[in-house]
Amino acid sequence: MVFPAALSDIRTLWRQEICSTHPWQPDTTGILAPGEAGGYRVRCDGFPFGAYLKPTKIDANTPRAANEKIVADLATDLGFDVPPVLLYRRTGCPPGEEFCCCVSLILYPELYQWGLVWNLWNLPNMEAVLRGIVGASLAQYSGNVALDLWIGQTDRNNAGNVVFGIDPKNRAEGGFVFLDHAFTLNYQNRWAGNGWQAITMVPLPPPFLDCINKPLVLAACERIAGISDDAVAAIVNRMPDSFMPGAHRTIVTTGLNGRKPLLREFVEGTL
Amino acid sequence: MEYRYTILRYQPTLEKTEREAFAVMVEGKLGAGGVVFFIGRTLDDIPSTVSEISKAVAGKMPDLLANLVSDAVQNKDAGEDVLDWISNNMRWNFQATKPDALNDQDPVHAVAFKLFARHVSGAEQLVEYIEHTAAQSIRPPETTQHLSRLEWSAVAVPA
Repeated sequence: MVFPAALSDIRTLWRQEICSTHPWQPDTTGILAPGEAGGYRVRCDGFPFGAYLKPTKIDANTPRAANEKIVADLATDLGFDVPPVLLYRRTGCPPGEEFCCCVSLILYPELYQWGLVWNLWNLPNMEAVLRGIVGASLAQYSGNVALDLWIGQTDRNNAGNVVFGIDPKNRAEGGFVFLDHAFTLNYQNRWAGNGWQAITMVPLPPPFLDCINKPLVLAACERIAGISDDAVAAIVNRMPDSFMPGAHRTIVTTGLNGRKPLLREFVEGTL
Repeated sequence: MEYRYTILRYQPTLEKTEREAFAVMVEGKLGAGGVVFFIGRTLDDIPSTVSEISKAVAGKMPDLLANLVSDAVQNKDAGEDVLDWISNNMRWNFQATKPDALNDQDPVHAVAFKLFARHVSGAEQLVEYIEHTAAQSIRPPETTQHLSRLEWSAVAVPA
């Protein structure tokens, strides 16, 4: 995607900061389905399209908000198509709901989940043209597969976890945005005991799988291999204990740094 | 009978909070399977400032929703209904509200028409027109029907 120029300062700031202290308010668009993790759109002055706050459901086995923040910071440093994220402690949190949350910046005034895009091309008389255009466009996002492999993404074969964003006032800025990185890293403690060494193919929806460009994935693997161990550790270790305990951070750091050099060989032999 | 329903809404831009309800989807159980009935009005007053994608999606919404129901049947988790899956996946400019439940003795299409009249602005006149001129001919159709600015369709949900 072409990151919106108007939001580039916010991206820089959100990469530097850890927690949001902005006075986010629930969007007045009313009750929408909260998704698997629970969440809702929020608004605040200075952020034209608002943000998405999640999770609201408590998950004792997975530090979802910290996972989102770590992956967003890594993606920002390495040029992947993931929106900026800040941790956020909910005030006035209802009993039984998660208060260690995060806010994911909404980048465009119009968003369409990629499942909707595929359904458009399945309509009569539209398939050939749209398949060609969307396929060529999606192929340019192949590098994100390397990021998903690195972080052990388990939730990409999902109609809503990638969206196409567009600003009709500036069509040069737009594209696909990869969302939802809660079920990654040491999700459900799977990386403990050297479990991080197991790299498996990211489940991908066929329309994306069919157009992946292997050289772009390999180039992204090289970018990932180039980030220093210290840089990765710095991103992980600044997570507050309440969002990700120290022992969990150690496993995540070990896993991310250990997986870096394994990606290229995996891609060579799998894609 | 117990039904679940969701209201479909269109928010032209996420920069502003204005939005309009344009359709309802009602899910009813039939044995181990079910049926999802959609009724909506076409979005004729789309602002010229939105993208061509927005216009295309709005113009194809009944057909897109039929495909979404198929996607939901294939991909929904255990314990999740079709409407849960759809509303989880419609969170942005085209939105589906969190599904609600209701009990009603009428058949699914009649329930859908009632909810449509209640929740969609400007729907009353369309429904009244239907009731007075074509009520006897309303059957859950196999394909999308068009009458003025009103569209409806039914999709079977296999067991």
